[in-house]
Amino acid sequence: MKPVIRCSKMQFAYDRKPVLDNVNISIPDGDFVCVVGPNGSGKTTLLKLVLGLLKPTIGRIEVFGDPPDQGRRLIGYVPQNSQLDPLFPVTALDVTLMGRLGRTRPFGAWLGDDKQRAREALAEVGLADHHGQHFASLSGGQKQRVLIARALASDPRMLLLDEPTAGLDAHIEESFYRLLQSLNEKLTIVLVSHDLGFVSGFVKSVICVGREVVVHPTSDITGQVIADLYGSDMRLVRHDHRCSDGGHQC
Amino acid sequence: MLAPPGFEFFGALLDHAFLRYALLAGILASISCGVVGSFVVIRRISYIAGGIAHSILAGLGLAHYLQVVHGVTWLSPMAGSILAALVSAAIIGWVSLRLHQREDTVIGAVWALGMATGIILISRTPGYTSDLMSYLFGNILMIGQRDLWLIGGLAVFVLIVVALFHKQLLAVCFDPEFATLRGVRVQPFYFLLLGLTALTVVLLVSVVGIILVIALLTLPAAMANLFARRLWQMMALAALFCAVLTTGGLALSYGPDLPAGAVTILLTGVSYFLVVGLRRKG
Repeated sequence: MKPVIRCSKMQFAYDRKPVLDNVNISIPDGDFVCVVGPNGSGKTTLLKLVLGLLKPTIGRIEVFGDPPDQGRRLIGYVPQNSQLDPLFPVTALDVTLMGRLGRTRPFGAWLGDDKQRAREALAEVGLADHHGQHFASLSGGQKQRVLIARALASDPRMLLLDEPTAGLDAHIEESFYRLLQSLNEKLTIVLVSHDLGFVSGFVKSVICVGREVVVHPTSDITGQVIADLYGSDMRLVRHDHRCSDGGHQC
Repeated sequence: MLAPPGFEFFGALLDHAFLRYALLAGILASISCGVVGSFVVIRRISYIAGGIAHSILAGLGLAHYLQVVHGVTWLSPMAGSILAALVSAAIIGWVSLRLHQREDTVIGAVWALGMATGIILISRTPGYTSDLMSYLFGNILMIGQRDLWLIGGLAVFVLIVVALFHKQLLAVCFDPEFATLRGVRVQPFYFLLLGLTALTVVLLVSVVGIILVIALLTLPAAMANLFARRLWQMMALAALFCAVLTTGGLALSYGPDLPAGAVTILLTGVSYFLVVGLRRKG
């Protein structure tokens, strides 16, 4: 099976100053990965490289075996919802339908198929009854779920989430991770987060972004690794761990 | 007996063709105003619309100059406006996207450059310069049958383009990054939006003039945004507001012989603040 994402000897630099250097990672199909690292560590840069919005300075990156600007068709991207205009005149269904772009005819109105797929996607995230609701009137957690439905509507093979729990309450966070866990049964999930504590109970492997990028199976995440990464010791809550096969490749 | 305000207007409508043209022009322009104005508000490009509107003076000045000084008749003032609006929309889009300059600075440059060019051309044109006032503040009563056809044609064109591409335009306005990842070419659609804005601004300039156009383009849509859950509802409501406001402006200005454009905008601005204030309380 081809890896979902593969980087080999990849470097990325803004104005000759490398942000990421010698990145070698391979994310297998079906994985549930968390990309962690402190603010300014290059997490967002890595995300943009995967999405083909930036090009590596040196080395290669492949998404589903293709260059990112082709392979990204199979990525369902879930951005941070704080970047969106809260007054925008759209319903939950309108937002979800945007995921059908590229999968439908280019001109004119949405097709019946698109609407059906979008409703299914909303049902998958537990918002079947909210399709006609104004996006602005939804809670933060519901908005986040609509953005996941939008990503699911494009029939992706991988979900890529950028700081999905920023600004969510702890109890909402837990049900949110359970949703991701159930989606992981058919999709690869990659989420980017600055906060590792909670995530570690659900994910199969962790990619730490610092000057170098290191892949760990979750069982290897010790106080020492985190201290190396964040510069100070942090309390780590132990959960039951599962290790991915591709954990320690570099 | 005291007649209600605007009463005289509806009586005079039967006698004067120019009043019927003016009324029809306002209503036709309202359709594109609602549709494109909604995009301008949600994509937050009202300052670009302002820049385009002011640069239209260059096109009007050029048409006027060529007509009077060189006897050129093929460039009508309306065609000159369309030319100037499209050129300035292209410059604003191109310089800010490709040359990576700050957008507001580019808009300011196009805005002032257009006006300066227009003023020079008008000053080099011999004759009566009262036309300048009607360019700046609008003269809806001067609209002729030919202008009406142009306004109607442009309104239909704008509607067709939006009907064809509304999915992409909405996605590009809501979340351009996601749209890019779904294979939508964001830059061409942004230029399309600027082009539609330019054409709509030209229509509205014939109704309320260069300086006042920005209020008529954005305020009905901003009011509609407060009541609409979906984009098409916002567009329909904005078009309705715009039609009511232009008709109201025309009717109220006719009796006391006030400038129609200014009355329309006064009505629009007061309505906007009233609606925003009442929604906030309610």
